[in-house]
Amino acid sequence: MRLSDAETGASEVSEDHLIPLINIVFLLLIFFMVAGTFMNPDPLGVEPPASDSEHPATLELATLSVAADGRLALDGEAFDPDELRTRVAALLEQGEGLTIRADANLPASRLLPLLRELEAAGLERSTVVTVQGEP
Amino acid sequence: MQLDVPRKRRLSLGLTPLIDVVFILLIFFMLATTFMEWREVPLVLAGQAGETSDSHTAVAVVRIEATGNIWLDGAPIAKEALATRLVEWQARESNGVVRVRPDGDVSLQRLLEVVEQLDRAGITNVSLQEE
Repeated sequence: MRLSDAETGASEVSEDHLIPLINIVFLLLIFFMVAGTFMNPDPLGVEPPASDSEHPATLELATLSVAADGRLALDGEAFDPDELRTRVAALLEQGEGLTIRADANLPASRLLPLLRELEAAGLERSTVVTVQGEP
Repeated sequence: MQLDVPRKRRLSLGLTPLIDVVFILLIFFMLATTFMEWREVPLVLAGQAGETSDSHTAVAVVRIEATGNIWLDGAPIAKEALATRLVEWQARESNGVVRVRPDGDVSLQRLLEVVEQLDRAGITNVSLQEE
């Protein structure tokens, strides 16, 4: 009897000690859930340019990643640049928008034809995503 | 003694599995979320629907070289002076259109620096054009 008493006493003490820890872990959990944003992983390793633009990005569900060498990926899935127009047109037909995440080193000779293609596919307004920071 | 027994049962539920699960959730959210502040810069192509121009509008051409030099209507201009010059120009030509014409090997970063500088100065009707 005395032994079991000691046991309950011990477990009570250890669980009491854990409660502040759990509180903090819960707070951290809720903080990360609320404050963080999810982003699709991107297979091309795109690093968006930095800017101090005043427009906060409206991140659409679909993300088009453009690597500096012109490789393309839609929602993390790489695809042939020749299919760009059909893929984007299909996307826009479903009423979805498109976020363009292009690499900071993408040359204009690749960017401008890409924008032309997107325009031909029906994208009315192209915006590229940048990271807040000094260029 | 009788009072102690139900208390013991309540505690025997055990907080450890709960803590395990919460820790796993915490680590998942820490790894899966990002805290970058995303911004966006609109890019309009010359002749696109978003651009308002016809054959009579005045056009200012801004050429960007890969080295970072900027030319306004064929004359070199300092990066800092570009926005103020164009603001003055647009005050005279209220319907004027600014065409940004980057050289082929100008990086997106450099192009955005110029486009965004114009955007912040309040210059409207900025569009991109191939060289």
